[in-house]
Amino acid sequence: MAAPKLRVVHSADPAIEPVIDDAELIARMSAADEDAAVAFHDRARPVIDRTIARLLGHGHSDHEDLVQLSLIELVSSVARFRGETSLEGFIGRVTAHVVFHHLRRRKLERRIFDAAANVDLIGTALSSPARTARARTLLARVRRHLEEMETNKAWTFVLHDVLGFDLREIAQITEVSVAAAQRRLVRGRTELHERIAEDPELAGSLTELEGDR
Amino acid sequence: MNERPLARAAARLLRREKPRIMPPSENARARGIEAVRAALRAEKRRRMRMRVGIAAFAAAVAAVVIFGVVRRRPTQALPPPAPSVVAYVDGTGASVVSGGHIVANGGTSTIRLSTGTRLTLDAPGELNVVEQGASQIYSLENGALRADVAKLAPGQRFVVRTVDAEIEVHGTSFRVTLVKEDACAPGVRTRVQVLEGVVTVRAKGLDDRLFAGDAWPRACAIAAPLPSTSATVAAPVPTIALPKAKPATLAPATSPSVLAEQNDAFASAVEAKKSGNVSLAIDRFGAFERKYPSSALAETAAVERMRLLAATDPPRAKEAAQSYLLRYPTGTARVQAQKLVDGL
Repeated sequence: MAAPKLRVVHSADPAIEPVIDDAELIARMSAADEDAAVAFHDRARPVIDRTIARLLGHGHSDHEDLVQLSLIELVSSVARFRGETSLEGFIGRVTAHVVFHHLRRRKLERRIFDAAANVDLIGTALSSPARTARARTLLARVRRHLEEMETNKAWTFVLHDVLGFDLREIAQITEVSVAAAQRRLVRGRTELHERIAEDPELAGSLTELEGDR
Repeated sequence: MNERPLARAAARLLRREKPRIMPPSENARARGIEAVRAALRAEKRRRMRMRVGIAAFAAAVAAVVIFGVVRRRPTQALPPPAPSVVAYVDGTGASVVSGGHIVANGGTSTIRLSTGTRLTLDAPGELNVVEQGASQIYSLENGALRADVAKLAPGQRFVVRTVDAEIEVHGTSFRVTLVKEDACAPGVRTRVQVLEGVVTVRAKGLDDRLFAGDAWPRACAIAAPLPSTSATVAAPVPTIALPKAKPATLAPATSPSVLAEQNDAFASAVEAKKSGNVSLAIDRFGAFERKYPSSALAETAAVERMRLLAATDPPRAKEAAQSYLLRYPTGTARVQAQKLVDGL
């Protein structure tokens, strides 16, 4: 039996564009290279969309405006990016900053996580439809408590404990000192805990959900 | 993580929430890409403007530095180390350089220096020109000398020495006389009378600062000049024999100071300015400058005129500023003058 003949075949799919790594992308954007616009947009857009949706909810009426504002802000600030975090983290931070300012400027009603119907819930413990529906109900109740809290405390809690920004980044986003951000975080956690504790059904469900992990 | 388990559980639940992000529509993507391109173009323009601004600023700084250096050169050249001060003896057409010796045989002789200083030597009198550079030093050997000293540039000195004293001028008029010893100041033959401004008399290791109206030695009144003790023309050169009984070209030393006249002229200009008659004020300040170029108020008059012109006649203001800078390179209004020259 003849041995199989193998040969190397190069993929020539024209739809696949060469991937620019983050360092090169940042360098080209820092040099104001317009040819990098598409790559940068496609790299940043999902992070921007996700951050806005997490902060304002899915399908917010200002979503598109905030995407544009975030892209513009990113272009003007990318030259200052020194790689202290991932590019994704940097994009998320800048977007959060834009959203925070947009809300303050327009005095919009805070709408953190208020689009329960348009979110997916991930995690093995929530795999069944019944559990997912229950989790959505719980989320709606948690959001209501957050909305009733003082804005800065609620924002700091969400930025830190949900979105994963560190205190230094939150201080930059909300333009306060790191110490002030930390105070807001501690007070936000305390207030949310106390509010949920006064809601026995929610408290019980959350405790049960934690036990399922 | 934290001590608030319910808040921690809520955060964990919220983190599980995954917003359902749909890829942007083609239109939305195109708008986003265009936003990035527009921002990049704006960024390029901003950087260009910044570069141009920095370049313009650097050029301006360089121009100021170069101009300052160029302007400083003549300033630093003053006072000239060489004997650039020339003394002319009125009525003779002769000039006197360092080492010269002037003898006044009769009447009063006037020596005009190129700095604007006027020396009036009463006959019989003898004056040696010791130095005519940065320091203008004269030695009165005999007789009486009145000195109306023009404003001195920084680093310049004007000194008259006598056998027992040295009189240094701080810019004004004084009279120095050599007398025979008398009872008021035994052992001292020099007498000084300050007409305007301030002079310092150094004698026997002591400095005495005299102001207008003061006399030195303090205990003595100014005595009349003594007859010449020596009419000999000293060697080497040049020796100037002055004409006999030459009429005085200056007011006698005891004449009233022109200070009051200057004050009146300056006050009239100020009055015109206060009354709002700007053109008259400009004329009067200008006339003051021309008539009293060595007056202590001359610089102030120049500044006032320059400022008034700046508000009414920029081309003339620029000329006035150039003139001011030439005359007062370290003057108090040099910054404003420089701005006017630069057209700022």
